Amino acid sequence: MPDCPESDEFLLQAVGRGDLAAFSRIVERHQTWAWRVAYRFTGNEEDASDIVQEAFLRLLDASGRYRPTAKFRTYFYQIISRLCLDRAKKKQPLLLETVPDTPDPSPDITDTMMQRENAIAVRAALDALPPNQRLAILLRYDENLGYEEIASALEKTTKAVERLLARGRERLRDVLGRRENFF
Amino acid sequence: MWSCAKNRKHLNAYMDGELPDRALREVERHLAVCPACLLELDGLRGLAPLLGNDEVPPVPAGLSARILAEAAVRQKRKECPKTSGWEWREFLFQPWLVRGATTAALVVGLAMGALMGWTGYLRPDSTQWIVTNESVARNMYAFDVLGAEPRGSIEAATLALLDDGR
Repeated sequence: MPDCPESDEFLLQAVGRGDLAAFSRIVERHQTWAWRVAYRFTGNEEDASDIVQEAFLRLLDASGRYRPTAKFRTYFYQIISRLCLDRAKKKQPLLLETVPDTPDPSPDITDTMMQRENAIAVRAALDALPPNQRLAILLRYDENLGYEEIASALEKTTKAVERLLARGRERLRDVLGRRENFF
Repeated sequence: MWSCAKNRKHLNAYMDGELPDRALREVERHLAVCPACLLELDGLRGLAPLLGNDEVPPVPAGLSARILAEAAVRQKRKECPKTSGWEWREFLFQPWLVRGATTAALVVGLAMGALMGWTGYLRPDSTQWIVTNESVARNMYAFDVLGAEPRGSIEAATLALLDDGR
């Protein structure tokens, strides 16, 4: 609720009036999940840091114009999503051929190493997805957003989100399904 | 009952809990009798544990400090806008100003040119640039060729020519 002084909407309006303490509260409250989304999308710390920093500064610049018609979190997801997709346009896409080969299933490979190999394979498969499919998948699985929230973040319809998720999942199953120990 | 093809189009939304009631009932009715679609649904569900396994490193130390430092700089810039002395020069080169000045200069130039030409034409001592045939004949031959009575003589004409030559 915008009237509640602890709400994000209230704090952001205060930021718009020049209150940097309110901005500091917002950063403290939201940097963890913003970092998580950015890192899971980009796969590297440097790009993720840039995205998170730019996202908060854009929030600061837009705070003077912010009206609490949309929830703060939805608004911030939009900013982060745009930055992620812009960053993806500038980066070289990862080729499917670079997905690591099936790990050696010999008995001296520990579970931890197998898990690590699988995590690398999942990371590579995610990186191989088109950026908007990747982002839809991450917002669904990591942030547990519903179709409407994902649609707001990506500025698409819910039907488009459903299609993005369906195609993203199909591609992930296709890539990861070629490996042993998956599915 | 729905076909497998139609049912599979709705499996993602079903798994995500996003189906409206009517479609939800149709999917469940189909899944109750179709092992193939049930297997497909299991395959979709199998992604969740994989995608949730990726570890995320902690937020880098100093990231929030950098953000807040930059925010303070921007805030200060908003409160005390820097004047570099170049603002008036930027104002002078506004497109609308340049266009207006060019048009005004053109109009003034044309007006002055027209004025100079007109005043030059009206000066009593200026050589008329429109010369009539009569005056040519008078000047050249000292003949009043178009006059009613011819005046002058060959000798007078010759002398007039000689005078002109000097």
